[in-house]
Amino acid sequence: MSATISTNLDDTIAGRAREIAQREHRSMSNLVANAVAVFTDFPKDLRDTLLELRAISDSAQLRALTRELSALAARARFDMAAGELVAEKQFSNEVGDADDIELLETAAKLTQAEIRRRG
Amino acid sequence: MSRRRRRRLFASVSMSTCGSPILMAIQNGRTGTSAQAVIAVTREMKVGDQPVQLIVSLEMADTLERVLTRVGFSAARSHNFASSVIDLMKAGPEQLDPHLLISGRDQLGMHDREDAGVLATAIAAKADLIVTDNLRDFQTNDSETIETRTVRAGKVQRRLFSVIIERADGVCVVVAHPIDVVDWLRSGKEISAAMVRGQYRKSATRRDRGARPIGGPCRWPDVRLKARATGPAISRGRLVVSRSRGSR
Repeated sequence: MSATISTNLDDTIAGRAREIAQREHRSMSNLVANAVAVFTDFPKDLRDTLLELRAISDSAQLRALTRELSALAARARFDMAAGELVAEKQFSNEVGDADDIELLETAAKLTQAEIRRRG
Repeated sequence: MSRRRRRRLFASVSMSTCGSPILMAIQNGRTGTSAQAVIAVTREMKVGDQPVQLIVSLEMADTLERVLTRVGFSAARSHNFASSVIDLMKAGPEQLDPHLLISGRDQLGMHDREDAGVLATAIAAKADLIVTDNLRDFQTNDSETIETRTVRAGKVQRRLFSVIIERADGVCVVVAHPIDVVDWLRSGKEISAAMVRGQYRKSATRRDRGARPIGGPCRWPDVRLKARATGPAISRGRLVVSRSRGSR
């Protein structure tokens, strides 16, 4: 089930939203739905702080916070992606006894083989 | 007393270092391998108080994805992992976008086209360091090779070395083995050509005796990188770089 909600955005935010939607090949509706979903996932204190920082023009704190959030999200995505691959257990258990150098050399051989295959 | 703020370290990590070896290690319950340590630093985006910016090209990420798919991993998960490496670069201290290499690698005098792409990307992104197990391919007539240490690989001893590529136009990249890099980082060293020369100077050799003196006049190849989508162009000598935007 879904509900249709309408809202008013000021010109600046609406313009920015359209630009992001276009760049990311999304509809405005999808963009706004995602934004609301993420916002409502945050605890109230975090939402309030973000809005407060946002209200300060050229907020260095907001930029720093955004940067930190991006870094946290990138780390989480990397860990999740690595975890999903590891769960597939595609590497043979023989490498379990390999030392550091041997692990790297095995990996280098795999890469070189793929490069040669690609020509 | 105020502490000196350390400069940012721009590090390009080869895909054969940040892909398979860490997955092999995790799958087998290993911890503390050099590949894992290098990735831990790029994941944290800093080492000690020194910010670390990962540098990866779209081509490098594509190679990583292909290798993982070839090993047998699902295509979607391989793509997701390669994209997550790009995300680490984009979220780094410099928030860099990945580059798409168009031309220039052929002029770098390297035998391996893929590694030439890695070097060209590192040059364009002003990297200080390339971390790779495959050092030999980075030895060119203009490079400086410095032996660093001997390590045991199975039953044999292997001599590790670093390659310094330094040019008159200011380009200076240290190409180093993950084991050396981890050791330097753990001991708090600021990685640079000067540090490597200073620590291992006695064993410094030029691969080609006829090579030009480092820092002397040279013809720098015209490396061109073009964005997948348009972005601000950065001019660096004869390098032309555009950063891609929203290329994922």
